[in-house]
Amino acid sequence: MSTTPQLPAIEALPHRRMEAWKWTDVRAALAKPIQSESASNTPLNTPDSAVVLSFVDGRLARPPQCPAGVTFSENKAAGPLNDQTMPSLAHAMAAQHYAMHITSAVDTPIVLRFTGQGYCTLAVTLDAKAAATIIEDHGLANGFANTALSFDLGETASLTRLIHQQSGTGAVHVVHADMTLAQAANVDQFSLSFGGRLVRLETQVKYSGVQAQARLNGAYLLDGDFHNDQTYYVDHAVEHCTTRQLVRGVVKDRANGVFQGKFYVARGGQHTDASMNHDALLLNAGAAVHAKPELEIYADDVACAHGNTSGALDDHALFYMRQRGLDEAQAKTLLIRAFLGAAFDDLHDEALRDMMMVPLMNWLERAL
Amino acid sequence: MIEINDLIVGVEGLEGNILKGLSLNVPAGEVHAIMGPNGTGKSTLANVLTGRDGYVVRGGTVSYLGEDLLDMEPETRAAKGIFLSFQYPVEIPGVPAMTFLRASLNAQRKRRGDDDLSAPEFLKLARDKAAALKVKADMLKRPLNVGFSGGEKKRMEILQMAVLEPRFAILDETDSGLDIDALKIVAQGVNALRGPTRSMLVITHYQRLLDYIKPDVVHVMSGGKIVDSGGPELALKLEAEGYDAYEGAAA
Repeated sequence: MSTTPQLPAIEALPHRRMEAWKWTDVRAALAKPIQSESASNTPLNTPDSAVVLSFVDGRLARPPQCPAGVTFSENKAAGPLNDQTMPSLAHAMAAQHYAMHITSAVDTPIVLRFTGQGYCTLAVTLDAKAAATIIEDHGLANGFANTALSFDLGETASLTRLIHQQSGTGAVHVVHADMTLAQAANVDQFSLSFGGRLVRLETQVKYSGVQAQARLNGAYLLDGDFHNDQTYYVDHAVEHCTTRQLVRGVVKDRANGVFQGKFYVARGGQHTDASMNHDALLLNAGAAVHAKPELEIYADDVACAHGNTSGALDDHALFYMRQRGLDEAQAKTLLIRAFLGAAFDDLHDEALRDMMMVPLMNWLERAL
Repeated sequence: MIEINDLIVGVEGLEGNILKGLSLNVPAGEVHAIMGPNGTGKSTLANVLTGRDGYVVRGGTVSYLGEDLLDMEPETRAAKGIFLSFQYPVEIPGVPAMTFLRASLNAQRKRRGDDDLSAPEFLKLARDKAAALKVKADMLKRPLNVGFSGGEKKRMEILQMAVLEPRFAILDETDSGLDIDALKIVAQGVNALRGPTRSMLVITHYQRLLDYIKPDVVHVMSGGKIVDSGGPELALKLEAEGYDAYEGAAA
C-alpha cells in the first residue's frame, strides 16, 4: 500500500517563475490536492539475469542480493547536498538514505525499481576501472515522488544507465541525477519516458577529469494530458571531454513535451567536443513541445553544435505507404519507430535495446 | 476492369475543376496510354484513382471490377490490386526498402484474407524480382528511396509493382528522370507483368516510353478530359505535331 508522503511546504517547491522550471511547474501541480485516479504502470520486463533492487515509497523493500563487486548500505544521515531544489528536498525529507559501491567490472545488470510515493535518495559510486549496467524503472501510479540519485565515476570507470519511466494520470514525479566523471570515465545513458501528470527527468553531468565522455540519449512518447520534461546540464569543466546527445520525442493529443539542454564549457574546457540534438514529432494540433537548447562557452578551441527541430509526420510519406497497402496506423507506426529508432541506435547491446523497444511498441499499439 | 464515367474533380477549398467530365474504359489485359500537355490533370487522375486526400469529386463515377472505387480507403484499393508508380517516389528515412516491401505485401495479403509470406519465401521472391530489374541487394537494405538516384527510385517503383502483382497499375511519368538504359530495364520490367488479367494506365508526356511499352490504346487528354483516342499511331502523330491541334478542344 502506498502511503501519502509528507508534502513539503508549498513555498519550497520550484515553480514557473524560475527559469529552469518555467515549463514544469511543480508548485502549481501540488497546490491542488492530488486526485487518486485509477492508474497502472507497466514495469519494464528486465533480463532474468539481472539483480533487482526494489524501492517502495522511498524504502528498500528487502535486503538486496548484490552480485560480486557491489556493496549496498543504508545511512540515517543525508549525503552531501547540492544547490538544486528537488534533490535537496529529497535529502532533507527522506527517512533513509542508500548507497551503492561498485568496485569492479560487474557483468550482471542491476535493476533499480522505484515504485510508490515519497522521497528516495541513492548514491552510486564506481571505483576506478569499475563498470556496471544500471537499469532504472521509475513508476508512480498516483501522488508525489521525488527521487535523487548520484553517480560518482572514478578514473576509466564505465556506466551504462538505462531509464524507463511510466507514471499515471495523477502522478507528480521528479527524478534527478547528478553525475561526476573522473579522467577517462564513460557514461552511456538512454532514457525512455512516457510522462504522467507532471514528470521531470533531470540529468546533470560534471566532468572532473580529462578525456571523459558521456552519451545522453533519450526518447519520449506522450499522449492524453501527459507532461514530460527531460532536462540536461553538462559542465565541461576540464579539457578533452566528449558529449553526444540525441533526444527524440513524439507528442499526441494535448500532451506536453519539454526538452531543456545546456552545455556549459568553462574557460578550462579546451578541446571539448560536444553535440546536442533534439527532434520532436507533433502528431496533431494541440500537442506541444517546448525546447530550450543552450550552449554557453568560455573556451576558445572547442567543437560544439546543437540542433533542434519539431514537425509533423510527412503526409506524402503516409499516402505513399497507404497506397502500398499499409493502413494509417501501420504507416504511422513504421514512420515513428524509424524516427525514434535513431535515438536507440547507440544502444549496442541488442538484448537491452530490445528490452527498451517493448514499451515503445506497446505505446504505439495503444495510442495510434 | 476500370470504367470512369464523366468524372469531375476539383481541389478541396477551391472553386473550379481539374477533371471536367473525363471518361475512360480500360478492359482487362489492355495497356492504355494517356498523353497530354502539362497541367491538364493527368496526375490528378492518378491521385483520385488511388484515393489521395485533398481532392473533391463533384460528379461522375469510377467502377473497378464492378465496385465503386471512390468510396474506398487508399489501402483498401491497394489490397484490391490498384498500384501507382509515383512520378516522385517518396523518401522514407529509417525504413529499409526490404522491410517496407515485406510490410506492404503482408498488409495486402492480410486484407485479402491470405497468410503472411514467411521470411524465407519473401526473401526469395524479392531477390528474384530485384535481380531481373538490376536492383542490387545493397539497395534493398538502405532506407527506402533515401539517397537513390532518379533512375534507382523508378526501378524501385517497378520492383514494388513486381512483388505486389497488382491488377491495375498506373505508371505516372515513369520515364521522367530515366536515361535510355534505365528506361529499357524499367520497360522490360513492366512488359514482364503484362497479362490477360492485368491492366495498365501509362501516363506520359513523350512518345519515347511507348516505343518500349507498346500500348493497345492511346488517349489524348486536354483541359481535364479525354479529347481523342486511337491506336499507337496516335502517339507518333502527337510527337510530330504536338498538342496544338487539341488546345481549346475541351472548351
